[in-house]
Amino acid sequence: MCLKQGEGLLNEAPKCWSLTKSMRRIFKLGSGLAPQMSNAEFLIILGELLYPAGISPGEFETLRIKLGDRTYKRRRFASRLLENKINDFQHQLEFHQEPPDSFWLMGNRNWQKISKMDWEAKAATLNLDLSAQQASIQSPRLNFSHSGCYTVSAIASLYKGGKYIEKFLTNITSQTIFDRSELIIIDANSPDREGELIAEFQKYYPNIIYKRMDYQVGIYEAWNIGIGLARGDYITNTNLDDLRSSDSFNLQASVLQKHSFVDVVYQDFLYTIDSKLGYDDVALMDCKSELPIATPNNMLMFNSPHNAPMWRKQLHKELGFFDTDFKSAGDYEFWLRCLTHHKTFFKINDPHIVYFKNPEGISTKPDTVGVIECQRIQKRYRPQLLSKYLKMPYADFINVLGGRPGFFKSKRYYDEVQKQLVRLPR
Amino acid sequence: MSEEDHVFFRGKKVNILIDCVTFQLNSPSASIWHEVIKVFSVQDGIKLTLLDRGGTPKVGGVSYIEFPSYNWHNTAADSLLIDRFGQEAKADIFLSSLYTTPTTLPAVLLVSEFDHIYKSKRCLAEKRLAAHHASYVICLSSRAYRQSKRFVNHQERLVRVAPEMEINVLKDFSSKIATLVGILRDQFLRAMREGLTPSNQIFQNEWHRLRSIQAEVDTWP
Repeated sequence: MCLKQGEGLLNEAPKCWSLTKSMRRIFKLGSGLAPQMSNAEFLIILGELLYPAGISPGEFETLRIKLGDRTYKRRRFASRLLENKINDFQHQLEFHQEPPDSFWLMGNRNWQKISKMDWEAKAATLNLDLSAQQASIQSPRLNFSHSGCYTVSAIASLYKGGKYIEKFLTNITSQTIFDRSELIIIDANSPDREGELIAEFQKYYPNIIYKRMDYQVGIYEAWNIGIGLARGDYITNTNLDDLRSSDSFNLQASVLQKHSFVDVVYQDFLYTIDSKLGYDDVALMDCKSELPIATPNNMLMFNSPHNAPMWRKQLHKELGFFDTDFKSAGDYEFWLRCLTHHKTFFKINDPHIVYFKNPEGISTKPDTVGVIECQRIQKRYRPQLLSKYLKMPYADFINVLGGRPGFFKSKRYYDEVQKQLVRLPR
Repeated sequence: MSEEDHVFFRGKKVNILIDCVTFQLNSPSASIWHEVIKVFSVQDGIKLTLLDRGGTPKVGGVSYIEFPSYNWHNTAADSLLIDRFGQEAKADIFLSSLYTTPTTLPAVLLVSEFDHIYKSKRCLAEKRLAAHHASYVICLSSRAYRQSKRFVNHQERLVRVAPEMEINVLKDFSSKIATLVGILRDQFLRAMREGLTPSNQIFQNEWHRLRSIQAEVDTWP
């Protein structure tokens, strides 16, 4: 029985149906709940109201399957969903009371979690003495000469980075293509006087640009200033406490050079919770992300390119700069903006970047700025990125596929397409 | 290449794109693929481009494209990406070392009995798609042939190697690789010729359209 959207079953049901009292009650109640909407619209609005980030594509499909094509169940459905959300919220509060020194490996299918204790145990098995570790800091390359051409512009926002600046400068200047790159440091009025050490490095590396602001700029404002100064075709952001393998710039830039249709390149990355470890030691620990191919559906769930991607400077001419309203997730907003303009993301497998997870600073609590901003961004882009096909009623979707509705409906639209593909005549 | 094929290709090299996913997944048939690549790499009239998802052995005279690793997730998006790289590399034909597929490129599928170890729902779905999309499915053993029969709608597209040429990774197969490569070459040429027919063009365009929709509705992260 196929119902027209927004109409109660009572009006449509054949007279011969004998409805139980409870069924009649459901139908009566259901007929009054947002009858002018399609089920997809109803679910999206319900998601907006009940989920802080709106409804993800996966959640949307699960709910659509549960609700089916019927409209008469909406009231009961909404009340059950609300009940579940209350239970989830309770669970979430308990979940976030876990020790703050542990973190999830991004993209890991088994939700593998690493704690400080795990980390130290693994270091012990590898005979790494964490207390004695001190990353080797090499002196500047005295014979360095810049080629005069700029392929890569690395931008860095600097604030209270005194603890990391020497290791950072050594790491970036040791890039194999640093003679075709530049490092642009925007000092957000840091009190740590890092400028003095940077000036020392500038004596050897003329391609280090240092700009100190006379007020405290946010990270995305600093990036935008850096991009404005950049001479390279490709931009990458560098965090003071992260590390790169010496061929990191080269690996990323080669992909953009070889494949003209790729706009943003990102990679799996290695985690460390000890900022003193050098790249090779962290690589031995082998604690890495398992990021997927970026698609609108999974990007609406998490920010795969968040750690030191490289992108074409041209993107900013076309799509604008980073949104400075954000304090922590402005990059996520920009990547989703790229996706709405059908830009191509490409993942490198080699984890050539180390991401420092500060054990004192790890926070996934639901009320942190980063989490709240991500939810705001997801809400903003969901209407554009949620596929029109997912929002279609079943019959319309089958029609688009060019098939006939089968006797057995697949729950997921993916499986319906699968059926049509294997039926396609050769 | 026969005289007729020479005329067809006008002396142009056949550009074969191989998805080396088998090395990344370390699947049992990886050793066969290593040998196949080595033999192909020294053949005249062939240009070899490999999609390296990790662990692909380095062979001289071959082009490599670093490609995102495979994990049976986002498989439709992966398929579209393969096709895009295939178009960019100007590949004539696609050969997967497991069940990955392009969308518009003609493809030949090589199946060993050991490839049937992948049995999750998504693996079986991809296997079915790969078998349906491929112009020809070459089975390396009678067991692989029996297993593949269930996945191929048109049995005339199923090619079985002669019993004495069957390949088993547990036994020495090096002497049989040259024959296998010969069979592959024949099927490539047939697939490429058929790929240009109007009915195949319709099939490939429709396949691309459906696979693009499938990528959009793939909500499994």
